[in-house]
Amino acid sequence: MDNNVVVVGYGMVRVGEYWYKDIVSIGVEAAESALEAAGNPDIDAFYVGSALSSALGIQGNVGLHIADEIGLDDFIVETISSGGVSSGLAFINGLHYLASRHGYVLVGGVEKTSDNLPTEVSEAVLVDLDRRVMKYSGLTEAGLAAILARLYMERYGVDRSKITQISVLDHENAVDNPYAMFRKAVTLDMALSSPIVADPLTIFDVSPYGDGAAFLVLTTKDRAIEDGLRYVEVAGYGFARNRVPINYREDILSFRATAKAVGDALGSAGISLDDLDIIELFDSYSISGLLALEGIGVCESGSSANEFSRGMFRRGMRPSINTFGGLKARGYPIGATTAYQISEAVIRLLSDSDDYSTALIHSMTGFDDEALAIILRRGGLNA
Amino acid sequence: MKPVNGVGIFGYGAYIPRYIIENSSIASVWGKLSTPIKSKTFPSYDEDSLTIAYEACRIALESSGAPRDKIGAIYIGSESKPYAVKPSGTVLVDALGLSRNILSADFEFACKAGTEAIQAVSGLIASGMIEFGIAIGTDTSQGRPGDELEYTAAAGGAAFVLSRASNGVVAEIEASNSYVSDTPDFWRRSGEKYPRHLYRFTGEPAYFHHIITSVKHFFEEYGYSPRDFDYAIFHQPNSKFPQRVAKMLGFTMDQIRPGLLSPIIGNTYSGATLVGLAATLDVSKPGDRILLASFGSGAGSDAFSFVVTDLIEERRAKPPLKSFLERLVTKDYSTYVRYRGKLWV
Repeated sequence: MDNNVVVVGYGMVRVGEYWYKDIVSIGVEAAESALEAAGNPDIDAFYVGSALSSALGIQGNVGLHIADEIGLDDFIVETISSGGVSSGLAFINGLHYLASRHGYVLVGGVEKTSDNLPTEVSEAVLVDLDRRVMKYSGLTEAGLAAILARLYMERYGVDRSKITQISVLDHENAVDNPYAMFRKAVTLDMALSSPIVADPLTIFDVSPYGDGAAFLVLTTKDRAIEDGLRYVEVAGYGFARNRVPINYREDILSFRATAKAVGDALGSAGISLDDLDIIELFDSYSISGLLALEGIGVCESGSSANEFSRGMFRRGMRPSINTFGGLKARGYPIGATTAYQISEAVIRLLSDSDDYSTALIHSMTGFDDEALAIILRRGGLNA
Repeated sequence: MKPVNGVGIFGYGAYIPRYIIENSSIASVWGKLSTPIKSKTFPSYDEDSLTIAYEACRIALESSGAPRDKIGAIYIGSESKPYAVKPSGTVLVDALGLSRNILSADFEFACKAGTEAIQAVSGLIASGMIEFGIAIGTDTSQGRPGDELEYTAAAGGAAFVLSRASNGVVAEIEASNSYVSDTPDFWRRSGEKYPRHLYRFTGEPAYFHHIITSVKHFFEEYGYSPRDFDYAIFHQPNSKFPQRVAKMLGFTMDQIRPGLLSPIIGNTYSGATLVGLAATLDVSKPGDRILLASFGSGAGSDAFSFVVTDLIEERRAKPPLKSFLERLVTKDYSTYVRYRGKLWV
């Protein structure tokens, strides 16, 4: 992939519970701050990811309503509902637009879960994931995560306590993230002794749904240089999917879509795993984060939990994982999540104080149902 | 709202049912691993919000020697009236032997109906329309089996005989105010047995927003700060909320300790802040200033400032609230289910 498309601005709201704002308002807030960061360019296309806004009956076609509030006329607007990768696919659509046209594109996602009862949100997520097998078998998303965790512990002889270390790292990294839902460090003991959601997983193994919106402004590299904007290069991406009904998979502990997507992304960027400084990992559950990291190939199968327990992947190490708190501590605004992950990598790559130059953003729907990998690289005009 | 003519508490009394159920008993039945409080009270099979109100009134009248024939109003705040239609107040008028020339009405505002009753009675007294009046907060609140509310919905109540300050009161009402909004965090429709709630929505936009706004307005209007108060009582739906709201407003644990009963007795709804006030009056000294802030879902909060007088020493409630806590008897879930009528469908 030639390094033609660049990120020139990002905007986010803190993930949380916005009782006094509707989905359009929080979308507008993040979109406007992204546009402002990019010097308020005229937008030619606007792609918005939102997994549940229609399903929850909050606002259909939410992108159109945000566009209307922003007040810019005559640009393409598309709302994408595709689970956890919704805003990631909005980003990919932006890349595709800029592959054939010039100009500026606004991409990102918005989600609001606090307007519905927790049971309604869980139901919507479940139906979104897999109605045919999961819903009718009585399995829940957390229940499936627990099955994966048990199988993982049994097959690889991993101690239960090691599964949750990734969540402890997330919390540690979110302490100074102004956009994080939870900015409190926790100890492993606290995490393990918290209430059980699905045995053996506790609330610290489960990322919290939250309201959120994050947007990015994309343009071509030439245009960014012409307009004097600092930028981060999009070096590559890959997308793949696994069999969705879990019982169709050869091995449920093998995240093959993640492996394929990341392999393609690295290939298109012309780099290898060793070149990665940062990995923003989609850890909607502690166990899915571990399995994804093994799918990516950073760790051998069955070894990632031990690596976290050894104190690996902290900030400053190579690779650093979830440098702003991941899904567990930054929060999990379902369809907006990938846009947060990308924004966080962009912050690191634009920073003069951080010594990071290459980032992998890994995003998923469910448990590797579909996987998206994006490679970002520190760009020009950083001095 | 500052009364033009002095009004205060002439006498007070509280009543807590004898039976408690530990949260761990409820949790073991429903498979829950963390619980909001230690235990909660529940009424025996022959108790309801009216019998609780009666006991609290009797204690208030007997401890203070208030003249029963001069009580000009009795307002009872509750969200668990034994009858949907048929006044509770009239039962108390005759059961307590009050004059039948009396204003009587039942108030409902989720958990803050009792403090509303205090405001209404004190207005009648301050205007000179009546000389004495009784305000009550009482509940035997309902929690659907297995629901979050079942862990905290408890029973108890308190009654306050109010009068002109010139008659001699144990605590003068300096001022009060109220803040309400259409915030549907918790409700029970007509004909429904158990209330419903909106989970975390009952926290920040409901409980915290209303209490904090109400108390801050109160402080701004009358120039108070947390340091001016010896004690404070906040609505207590669980252990955590009142402690957190106290901290957010700048109060210390020492200020709220005497009135914080929810960890042991649960959420007594309309009774909650008033039982806490009774417990605080039990230990307060002349000159102490007490802040009270109730919360009722739906939603609203009433804030009050009381100043304790020398008369407190001779008119404390007999028995004091402490004696009810000392006689508590723990029962199991089966007994609780039978006494609460949860087996009838």
